[in-house]
Amino acid sequence: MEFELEPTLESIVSHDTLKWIFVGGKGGVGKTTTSSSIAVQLALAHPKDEFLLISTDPAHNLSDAFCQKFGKDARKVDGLTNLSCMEIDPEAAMSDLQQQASQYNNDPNDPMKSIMNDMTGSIPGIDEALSFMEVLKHIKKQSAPTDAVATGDEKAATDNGSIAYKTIIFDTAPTGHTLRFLQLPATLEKLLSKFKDLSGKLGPMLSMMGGGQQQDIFEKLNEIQKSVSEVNSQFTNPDLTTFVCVCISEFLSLYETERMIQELMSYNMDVNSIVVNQLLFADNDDDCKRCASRWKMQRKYLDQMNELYEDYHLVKMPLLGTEIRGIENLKKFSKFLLTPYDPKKDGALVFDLEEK
Amino acid sequence: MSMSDSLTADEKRRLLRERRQAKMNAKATDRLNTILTSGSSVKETASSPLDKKPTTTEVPVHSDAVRTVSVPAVSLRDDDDDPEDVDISAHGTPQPPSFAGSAPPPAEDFDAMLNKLFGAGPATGGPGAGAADGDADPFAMMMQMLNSGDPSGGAGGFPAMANGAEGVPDSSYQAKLQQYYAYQQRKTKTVFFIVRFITTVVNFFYHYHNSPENAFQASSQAAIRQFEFAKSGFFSWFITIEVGILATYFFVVSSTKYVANDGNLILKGISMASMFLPQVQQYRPLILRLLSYWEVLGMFFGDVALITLLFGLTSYFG
Repeated sequence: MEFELEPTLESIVSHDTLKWIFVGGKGGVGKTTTSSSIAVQLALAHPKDEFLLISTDPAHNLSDAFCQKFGKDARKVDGLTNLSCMEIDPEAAMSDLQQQASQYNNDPNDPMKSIMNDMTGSIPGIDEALSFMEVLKHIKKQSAPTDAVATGDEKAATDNGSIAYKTIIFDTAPTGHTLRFLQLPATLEKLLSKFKDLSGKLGPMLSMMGGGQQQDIFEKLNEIQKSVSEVNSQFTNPDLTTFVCVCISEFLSLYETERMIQELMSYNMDVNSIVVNQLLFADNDDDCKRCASRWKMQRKYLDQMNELYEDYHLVKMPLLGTEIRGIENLKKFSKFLLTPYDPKKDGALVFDLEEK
Repeated sequence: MSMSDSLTADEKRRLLRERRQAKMNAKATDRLNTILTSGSSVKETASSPLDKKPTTTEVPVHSDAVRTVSVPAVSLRDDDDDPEDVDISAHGTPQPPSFAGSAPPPAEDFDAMLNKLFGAGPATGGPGAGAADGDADPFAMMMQMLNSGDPSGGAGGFPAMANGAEGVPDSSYQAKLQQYYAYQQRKTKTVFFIVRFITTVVNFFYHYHNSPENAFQASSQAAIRQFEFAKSGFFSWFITIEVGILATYFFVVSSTKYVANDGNLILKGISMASMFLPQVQQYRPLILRLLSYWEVLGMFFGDVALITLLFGLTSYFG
């Protein structure tokens, strides 16, 4: 059976049940611009719903993409009241963790405390772990206001600390970090079940030696395990989660995109859309030989992508004449995610963006 | 086309998903190799992460998604007949669904999981591959510490060498280093043993031959023992030589960097106890020093035992 697959992200924007959208790819291909564009289009298409864009890349760029300062708390975007942005700050999150841990260990002279402080801040994967904790928090928050709405408690439902976002978009770090992040739920689930087994065996001995604190920790771990299982379940449900691959039309990016898609499939994660950025569309450009030569190279890989990804939504985005920064430029650029770019009709936009 | 128009959006998505999955499962490696070829890559071949996925039972959990659930082999019993021998070893609890689509790891992969969590990267070694397994593994360090004592030193009880091993250990390199240190220590002890043996024996027989006739024989008369033997000066020389040799040994071993971890039981016990009672660690230097003195004392008693034996032999055969 033949399907006509539109070369747009319309299916994602109109997909009502999607809760988590990951946007990822190699470094420098336009992940932040694409994730910001997707978030803007979602917010415009569903003005009554709330959306959240989270950057999990330690080298955050969201603030510069929107020309507005964001932090570790969700802040609304100027000009779009139903879109918020957040940049996860590993150091701030770590200090939150330490404050929470202090309820279990109040000894200021405990050498283990300072060792843990030093070690955990530099452990590889700590950024991914902190992003994942943010995901867990949102999983919990999403169930709390839902209950509040069901009981008619509107104040609780719209309370700032527990906004239920319809969809959360992740602007991820370059491929390797993202794949590690996505492995976390499965790995954590196995680890936690091991700890659970251990707690059954060692619990009586530890409680003899250390009192009730170890039991609290094991109960906390049980709680976390349930959240992690929930995340696992949601990330593998294609009605709830999808991954948008961003690439450019070059060999290295294409190869990495294919590897990433295969890796994601091995995680049972849905991938149905690919955004190809920085395309020159220089068919009629006789003046710039460099553009013509580069476009010829891009077309070669585009043709290959058309063959490889015939069952995917392959969205082709143009390289514009200036950076895509600020909400207005993002609105202009992001419409091509829903309406294919036509160089003849839309070519004027290449030089039409506001300079920032 | 008309058939595709009659499908709902959800059905279309499901069909497309299955098609994508089928194509990937069939040709994942070929796709990668095609890309490599077209890009004139220097890599000759690639292997797909999907090819490394272990086969597990696939159980559809959601209507549109297939999740792999590992179900262990369970021997089914006919409820009507009780078997003569009940084998419970095959019964297991079903594992929770796995996001990565693989069977639950065996117990010994616990360290591998922790390594993965802490930065080993995807197991396929793809774009996200981080540090290789075994590098900077804090948990291997901990297990090594428990199995063989303090990796930072303290073997033989010489506290000055407690900081001999520094930096992040590579476990195989450290094992070989420890073997080398142990060899160097044994060599030093052997050399000093030979020196002690020779000097004691020479000292004994020198004085045996040059002393009055009865000086080196057992006698029931105290006057003979005290008078004759005292003139020989044997013990003065013995003590002097012993002090010299043992002091030299102590100095040599204290100043060398060759500290082997000899798995001293007391040190192991301290390491284990310090996991539960960190205060025990503060007594470690004192215990190390006492152990070092004990070793030297042991050597002295060994030499005393040797001259006792020599005295006995000369009295018996004399």
